[in-house]
Amino acid sequence: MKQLAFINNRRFFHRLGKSTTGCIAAAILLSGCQNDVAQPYNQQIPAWFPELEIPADNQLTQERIDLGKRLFYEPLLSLDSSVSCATCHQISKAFTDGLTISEGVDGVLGLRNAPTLANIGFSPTLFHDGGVDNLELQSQQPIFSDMEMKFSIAGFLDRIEEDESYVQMFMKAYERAPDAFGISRAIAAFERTIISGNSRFDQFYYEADENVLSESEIRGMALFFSTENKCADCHQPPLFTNFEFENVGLYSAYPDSGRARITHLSSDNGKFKVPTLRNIELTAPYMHDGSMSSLQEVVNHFNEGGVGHINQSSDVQPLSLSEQEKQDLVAFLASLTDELFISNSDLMY
Amino acid sequence: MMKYLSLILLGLIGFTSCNKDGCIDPTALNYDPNAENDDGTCVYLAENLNLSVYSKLGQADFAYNTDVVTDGGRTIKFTRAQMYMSGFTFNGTGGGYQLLNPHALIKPEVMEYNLGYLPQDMYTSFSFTAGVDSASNHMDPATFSAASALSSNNPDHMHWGWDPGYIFYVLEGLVDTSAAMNGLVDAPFIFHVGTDIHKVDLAFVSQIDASSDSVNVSINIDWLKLLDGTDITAEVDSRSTHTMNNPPLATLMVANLDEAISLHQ
Repeated sequence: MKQLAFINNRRFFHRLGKSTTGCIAAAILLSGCQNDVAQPYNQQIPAWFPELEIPADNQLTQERIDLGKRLFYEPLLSLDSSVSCATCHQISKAFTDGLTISEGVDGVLGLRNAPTLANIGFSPTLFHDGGVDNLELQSQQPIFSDMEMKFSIAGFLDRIEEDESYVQMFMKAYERAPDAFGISRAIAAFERTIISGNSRFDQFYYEADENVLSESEIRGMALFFSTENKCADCHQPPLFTNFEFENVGLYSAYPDSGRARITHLSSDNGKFKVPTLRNIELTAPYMHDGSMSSLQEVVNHFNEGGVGHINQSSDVQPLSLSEQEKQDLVAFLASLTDELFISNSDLMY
Repeated sequence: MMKYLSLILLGLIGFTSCNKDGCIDPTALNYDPNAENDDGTCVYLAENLNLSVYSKLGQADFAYNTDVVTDGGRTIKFTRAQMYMSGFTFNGTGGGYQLLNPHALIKPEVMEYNLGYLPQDMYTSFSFTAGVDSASNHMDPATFSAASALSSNNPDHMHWGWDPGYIFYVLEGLVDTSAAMNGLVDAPFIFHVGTDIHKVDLAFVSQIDASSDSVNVSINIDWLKLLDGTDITAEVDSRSTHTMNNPPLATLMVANLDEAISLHQ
């Protein structure tokens, strides 16, 4: 029964991949037609991924992505020129920072653990609480936040006023002088190229390379997709998240109300966006508050079934996994690491 | 033949004598190029509508880094205070008129704000929103012109970077948290208030003669009164709100807006 569910999943995602290829090709052609000067960007998206939706006013071009990458790695965006986007989103850690809670200017602690940016362009909401629904707005927030860059766009524009190379990049990318519009759009454009879909799991599952996973990883995969264990109910492939908000029973009283901060609904108290599990091996510590240091600890938590918060997801129930099964599950999670992704020079500056 | 010519002539006379009434001044807002008789309805712009904001701490003039005492007896000092106002509307004999540039970012260190143009009229009341109107509140701050108070190009603009939108007002400073209330400020307070449910519409009855090129309206803001009823103690939860993490405190503070903002006599 477990194996049957797995096979059905596999067939489904093969079909999905075929249909999205045409959409992506059309999107690339469309973006190329809109600007004769700009170089259209040949977006490389795995065939089994969903379509990447891109705002009409920010179609991808090479110039926009180049500018966005420079800005993403630009510490001048912070008050004391010490913090860039890449400070909290390091490629070697799958665009996280390895800290329990991220640090901003002067070492001031933020609110939560830095989420990975892998495949962030596919996410309909951003932040752990889903408080933003587009990258163009989200990209401005860290610049102003007292807990992150603690600066202003006006201040940054003053700093680059004499930098002719920046002016030229903005003009080529957006046909306008440096400003908030160009900054926010360019960073968002670059972030939409942060795509990870070439893990050993992908090679096994979508590309039928049956030699890339160990026996333990295959057993762990069966446990993961088991309808009894329900891991994949929330962490649905190919992105390994359903982008919903769930309370996983970490605490009986949450210090951080999570999604309720946005909706003001008590029924959302303690709910956070289901994170992707792609590259999860590289993104410790775990949970919205970085309270778990290892995948073993995370698996133990779900095996025990949570503390029983009133809003706890019904999918979080005691699982009775054996020690071997827990090891297999952790092994499978490690197969979601994409080595080419974290060494992709296109994402480095 | 003569009969037809007479009819045509009568028709022409009738047509030319039917001169249209209206505003015949091309410089007026409602200039009618087809009007030939001025009926006295021309509406003109007052070139400068100036908003004067008198910032107060109780009866005293506002000052940063100066000890003041809240209604709860706590000594505090302000280090930052800002507020958005929007939707300025003036009601006169010609009806209501909403300003085309309706957003202002109020700071105690700035007293005068040019709100743009207003049709010449005799106005009897005006209103505005303390906060940002809902439509603008959910626009991307990067899409406003650089001159707008809402633009993220503006170094003072206040936006959360989240869907809840703009921070309507910010009050920051230091407070004495000692049990004995010894008057020594020692801990920060941070009140960032926003979200659509916390904008407050305010209306004032006032005779405003906008018949000249320049018009002025004046209001008071008592920034200290915004803290009335709050219990700024050693408890962090009572001296900090970013609205979404502490809605009851934000709601309590918003209730003070009605009395904190008044007409300057």
